[in-house]
Amino acid sequence: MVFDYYLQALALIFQPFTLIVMAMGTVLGIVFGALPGLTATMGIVIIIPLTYGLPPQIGIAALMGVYCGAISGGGIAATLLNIPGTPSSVATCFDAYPMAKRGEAGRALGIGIFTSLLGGLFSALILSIAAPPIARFALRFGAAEYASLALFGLMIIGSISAGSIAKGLIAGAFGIFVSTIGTDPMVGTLRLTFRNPSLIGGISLLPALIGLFAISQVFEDVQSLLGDEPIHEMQKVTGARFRFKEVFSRWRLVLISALIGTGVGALPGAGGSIASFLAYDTAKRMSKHPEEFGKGSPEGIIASETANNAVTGGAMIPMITLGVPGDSATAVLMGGLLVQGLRPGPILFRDQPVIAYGIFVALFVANLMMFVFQYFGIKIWARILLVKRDILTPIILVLCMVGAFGTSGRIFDTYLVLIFGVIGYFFNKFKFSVAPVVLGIILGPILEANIRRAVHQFQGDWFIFFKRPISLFFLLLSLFSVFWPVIKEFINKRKVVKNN
Amino acid sequence: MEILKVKTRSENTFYVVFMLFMGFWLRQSLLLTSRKASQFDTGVNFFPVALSVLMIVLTAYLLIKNIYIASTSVQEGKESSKSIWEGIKSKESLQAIGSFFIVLIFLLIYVVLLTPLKFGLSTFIFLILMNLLISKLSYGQFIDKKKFWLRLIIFAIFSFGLPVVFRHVFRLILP
Repeated sequence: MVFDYYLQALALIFQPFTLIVMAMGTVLGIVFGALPGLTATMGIVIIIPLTYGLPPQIGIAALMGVYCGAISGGGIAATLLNIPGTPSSVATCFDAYPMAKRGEAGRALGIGIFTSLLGGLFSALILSIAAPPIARFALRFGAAEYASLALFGLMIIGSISAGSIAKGLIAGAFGIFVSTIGTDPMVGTLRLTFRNPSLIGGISLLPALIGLFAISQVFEDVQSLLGDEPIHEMQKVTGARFRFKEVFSRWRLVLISALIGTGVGALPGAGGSIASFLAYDTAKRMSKHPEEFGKGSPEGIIASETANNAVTGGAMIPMITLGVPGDSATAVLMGGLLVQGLRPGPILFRDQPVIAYGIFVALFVANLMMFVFQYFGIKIWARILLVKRDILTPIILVLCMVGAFGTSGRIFDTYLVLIFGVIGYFFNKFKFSVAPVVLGIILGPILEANIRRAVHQFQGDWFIFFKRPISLFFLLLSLFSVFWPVIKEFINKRKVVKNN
Repeated sequence: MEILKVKTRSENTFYVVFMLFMGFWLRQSLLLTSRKASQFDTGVNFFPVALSVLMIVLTAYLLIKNIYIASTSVQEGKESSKSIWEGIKSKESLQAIGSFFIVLIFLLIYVVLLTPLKFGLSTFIFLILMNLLISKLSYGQFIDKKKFWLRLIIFAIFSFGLPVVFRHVFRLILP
């Protein structure tokens, strides 16, 4: 049965047009990853509207291409400019740039690209093994379990990403509040629509995503341009190309880094930067030459790049099996799947197994494409870094606005993009993370409908969430995630006192 | 110290504005019907009311915390960085806010013009305006004529070519 699904998924993905769109997505992803200031999340947000009119398998292929391309593309700027293209490639800068500076940029990039491929393939393998049984288990969930799970997803992202518990909770609550605009899920009454027909279906996810992740970022970028453009010394792509042997001879490090990346990615709220730092630190402790770290050690590049790309498959495990995204990139990716009419979660495996398995196949193929494009086009990507912001930023803004319009055909959605852009800008400015807002918009309807359904089903018994073991488990996890920053601070304070 | 103080002040202003904003939504939520699917249902207005109250309470907590921290820490260093701050305030801060509003206004104009001027022309105008703004912000001056012509060609191809690509490849219709 599973073999059949894989065969059908392969047939879907290996259509010429699907592969072309995936290749375009991968190229766009690499560009977004390579250019400092543009993020993987932004790349996915911009490509979502383009996938709207296409069949789901093609849309998925494009989204996977952007996701993989952007995460690994971050290493290009890290190597040549000493600026991380994406937050997850910060640790790559430590060794890739010094190696490039001593005239071995080609080698540094080669190691980074090849280990990105290995990390990506490993995590895709883990995803394809782990996801089906988790999804099968999640099929047993009832309304109470879904409500607690949605709450857990919101709490963990809110508490970790914002830095302040209160700010994370406000951002999450704001997202859920936005999701309440429109038609009530139980009785069909209109809520907070101000008699505007455009609001009857609720706030569309896409304008919110574009506004919060892309427009707000552009507002910030324009401010950062004030004054002279910073001049960074860009290294030329010269020197010996790397040999595959130097990575294969360190297979143990690759494996450990890939495991760290996949594991950290699977934890909601963690993300690529934590994974790459953790892998880098582990590699340093494991190394026979820890003194070479920070001076152009290939082991440092291997650890960081393997781990940050291994996050891709790991982060997709909770998203695709439970419908709870692991980080902002997967939250946006989930938004992309929702726009395609697919709802990630156990139901996807039950109702559309070929599409679910198609996501695994697409992730494998996207990683391979990412490697081919980056490895054979190293010099082109280096030139991409020279693209001027005064050309790029206006074009990105146009793509954002027309993307919102193109999917719905309503000018109202372009105004929504602006509103969410302003909200996102102020949220970012005052250190409120926007990821919980998006999660709130995605998980809010699930949370509300399932809480109300569960209370209705168990005749007003609010303790039902504590009586059912799986629901209780998720509630305890939610509670733990809310108080974890406080506990962590307490432990750190005690450590300091002890050391003194 | 002065910078910190002003930063806290702007944060507090944001909290107050956010509370007022959510207060408006709370009022709207209270006006909603409390219709229920059954006697055990929470009702139509429960979630909007509960969420807006939660946000107001949490924002008030952040505001009070900020005021408390500011009142205990702003005792010293009143004069120290005043002159430095004046410089920063007058130039960068105002420019930053200004650039935000200019981009926002450009975007608003673009959206308003999208229907009457159609996609190609409105996009072309928007791209030129944004390019001029960003080049002025980045380099402190407008780019030279030769480079500007090159950008005009790029933007023209993009503006008038995009609807064709959107329609035929991605099956999306633009205005």
